[in-house]
Amino acid sequence: MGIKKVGLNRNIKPQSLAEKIFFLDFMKGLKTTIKHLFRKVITVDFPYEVVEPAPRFRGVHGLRNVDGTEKDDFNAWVKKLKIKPPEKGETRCIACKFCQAACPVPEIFVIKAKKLDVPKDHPHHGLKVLDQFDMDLGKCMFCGLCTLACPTVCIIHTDIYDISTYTRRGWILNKEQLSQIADDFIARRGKEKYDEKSEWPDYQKLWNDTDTARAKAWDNNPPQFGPNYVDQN
Amino acid sequence: MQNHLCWIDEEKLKEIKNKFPEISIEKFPNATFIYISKERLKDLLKSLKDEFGFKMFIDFTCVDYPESENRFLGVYFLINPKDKQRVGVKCWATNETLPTITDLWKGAKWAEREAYDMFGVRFEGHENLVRMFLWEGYPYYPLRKDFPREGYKTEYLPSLNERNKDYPAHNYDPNHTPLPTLEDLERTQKARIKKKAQMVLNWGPLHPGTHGTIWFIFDMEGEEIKQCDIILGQLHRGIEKLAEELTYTQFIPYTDRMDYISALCSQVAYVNTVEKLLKVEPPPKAKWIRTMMCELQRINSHLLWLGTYALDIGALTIFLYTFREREKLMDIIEGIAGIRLNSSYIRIGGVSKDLPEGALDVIRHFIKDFPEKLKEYETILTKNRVWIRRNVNIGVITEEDVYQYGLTGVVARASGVPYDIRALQPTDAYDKVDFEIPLGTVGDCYDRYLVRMEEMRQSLNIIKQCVEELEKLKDDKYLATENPYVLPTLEEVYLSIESMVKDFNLRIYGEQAPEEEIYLSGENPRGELGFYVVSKGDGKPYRIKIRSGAFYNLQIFTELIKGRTVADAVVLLGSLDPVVGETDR
Repeated sequence: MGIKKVGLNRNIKPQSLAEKIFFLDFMKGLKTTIKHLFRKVITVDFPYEVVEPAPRFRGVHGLRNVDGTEKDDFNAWVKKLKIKPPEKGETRCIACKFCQAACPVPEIFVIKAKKLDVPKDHPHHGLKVLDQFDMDLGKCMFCGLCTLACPTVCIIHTDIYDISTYTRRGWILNKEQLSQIADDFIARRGKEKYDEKSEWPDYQKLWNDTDTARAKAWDNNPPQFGPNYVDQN
Repeated sequence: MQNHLCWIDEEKLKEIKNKFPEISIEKFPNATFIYISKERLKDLLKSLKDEFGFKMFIDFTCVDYPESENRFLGVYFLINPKDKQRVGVKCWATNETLPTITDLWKGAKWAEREAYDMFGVRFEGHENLVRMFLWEGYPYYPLRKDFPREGYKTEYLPSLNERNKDYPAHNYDPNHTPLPTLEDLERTQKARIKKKAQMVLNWGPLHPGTHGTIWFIFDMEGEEIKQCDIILGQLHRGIEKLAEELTYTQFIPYTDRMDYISALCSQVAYVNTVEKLLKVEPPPKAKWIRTMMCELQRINSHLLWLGTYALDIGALTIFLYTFREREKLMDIIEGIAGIRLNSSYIRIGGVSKDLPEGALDVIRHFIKDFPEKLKEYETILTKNRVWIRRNVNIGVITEEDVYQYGLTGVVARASGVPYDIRALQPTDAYDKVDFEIPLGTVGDCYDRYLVRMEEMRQSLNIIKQCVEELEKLKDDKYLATENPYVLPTLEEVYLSIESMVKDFNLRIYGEQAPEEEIYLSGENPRGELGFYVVSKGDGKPYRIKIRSGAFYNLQIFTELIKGRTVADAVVLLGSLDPVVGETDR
């Protein structure tokens, strides 16, 4: 750890006659800019060409449905919280409100469960089902604390980032909308982000390295992913 | 003489005790405070400054103890740059007043104004004690404990609730807290400076040259600025107040939103403070990741600075070139942390997730690429005649100014003061990496430019070492989950019932920190970002004071601009590089 003095050699001489006449300083800078003139385009033509967000990208939330990739303790959680065992296609949410507890702005969530109205001899008597799950994304910071708290990997972040609406009302999503978002996302990019137990796998990549739009932004010289350093010996 | 910055030693304390027998000393593992009565405060501070070498002013704040007899406690932080020691001085504000120390350190001017604004503590002898962030005529003092977090909702605004019936949730309260009216703003402006010269020129708050929402008032005689003041607070969100009702983990996303250009550095500075308080030791891999991410963020921040600074002076192309490189860094940060800007990646006890596949490859690619681009910027700028004319000998800051105003970061280093927290008080892996501290010689805008350019090179060097090290630590843990204060990962919650109980307790009740006080800082690209945390043994902090580098660095602007023209104001502001998210908090 040393000290390095900068600016010792400032060397500010007055301009010589040649420099004044031929704008030599000016030419030096222009050399660099003209070099750039012949380079390939690096900007992305946005609405027609989209950079695919990274798998870890934290966009609009979604509520995952039961699809056979739950964690092994999913049924134990359902039993513990006295939730009606969900069928395939029903929400994974068990109304434990861990997301709300973890959230720095808990008023984002309105989560309610209701008791099923079934006769006494019905197997689902006394069990609950998720009734309401509203999120106000206008208050959300997208910090990701809720997704890390969810014991059933129900609430997730998708790769959707364009959520502008004309009114604040448009940012309030209910459980049907959130489920739809998650279903779409899992169908689109679920394999990339989650393994068969809904966990982030080791093979999860920094980003999709075959994305041509992103390659453009990297000077048309995108980095090559080597072997995973976790496995490298 | 030790190498690292630490708290005041016994020897000095004994000497002070001999001189001021009435003092009492309060010692914490990571902070030492001297209690003094209000009458003798000025004498003690003067003696600390002149005799004991604590000549650098770092921070001043108040803490509200409503149950106590004298309600407000003023806390001063000073640094002895020669012996590398810190000291805290505490003094009860009897009758809600304290003597001003602006005659000892000019940098205390804004800090005292902030304390007056937030707590209502008045300072006897202060030259112009007006509000710092809020407007004149605002009736409350928001950081007092009896002020509710939501404020007092007195304005009726029913239009916010016009919505369909099918959204039963999330109805907004029709009553809102008041906003300043035009008359209020006029009163605020008039209270700041007394017009002496020809005309008063307003610059900002919504001017692209002000890099955010800073409102400058220039009192001008022709082209020349005679006096100047700055109105801050357009981005004031009361983060310190919010912190008092959040757990230590929940506050991490808020630290991103202070200095949003270098969010990762703020997170690391905050998390390091809390880890010291909770006595959590992150695993080595997490430390190396943090150091690497911090340096990536530093390059990112300096690139944004370079682009906008050159843009202000008129070199438009540089802006395009730096943003091209910055975009790559943003991509890397997005891939690793999840979000480009406010990444909220660091956790107490480590980092939230391990590096994904390909992260190190991409960073290596960037390191290989970047020096060439840096050379490109320097070809265009460093010897450019316009650049030199606009930068050299503008805004010269002397070493004395650095101590007087508590300037830190690049601004201090460009004036030749080797004040770099990374070297003085190494956290994370900074004690294991090798880097040089660039120092300026004159202290003008040109030096600040050169120092920042050199810093980018040094950061690159640090990242290189981190990548090499992280390749060795491939299978290590990234989160010290065995510690009782660290949130377990989802896998662990699934595997053991103890983890589940721990997870539940930490989320609901927060990290039960010991009853302690701590001050620790990190080297942000904008200067020293310090966190003074007062813990009362609950899961939530009693008070967090954020010592923002940009806030103190901006303060000297009003002095440097005197006698110069408006054109220089743009250059000067650009070279001080404040971020409004951090100055206002």
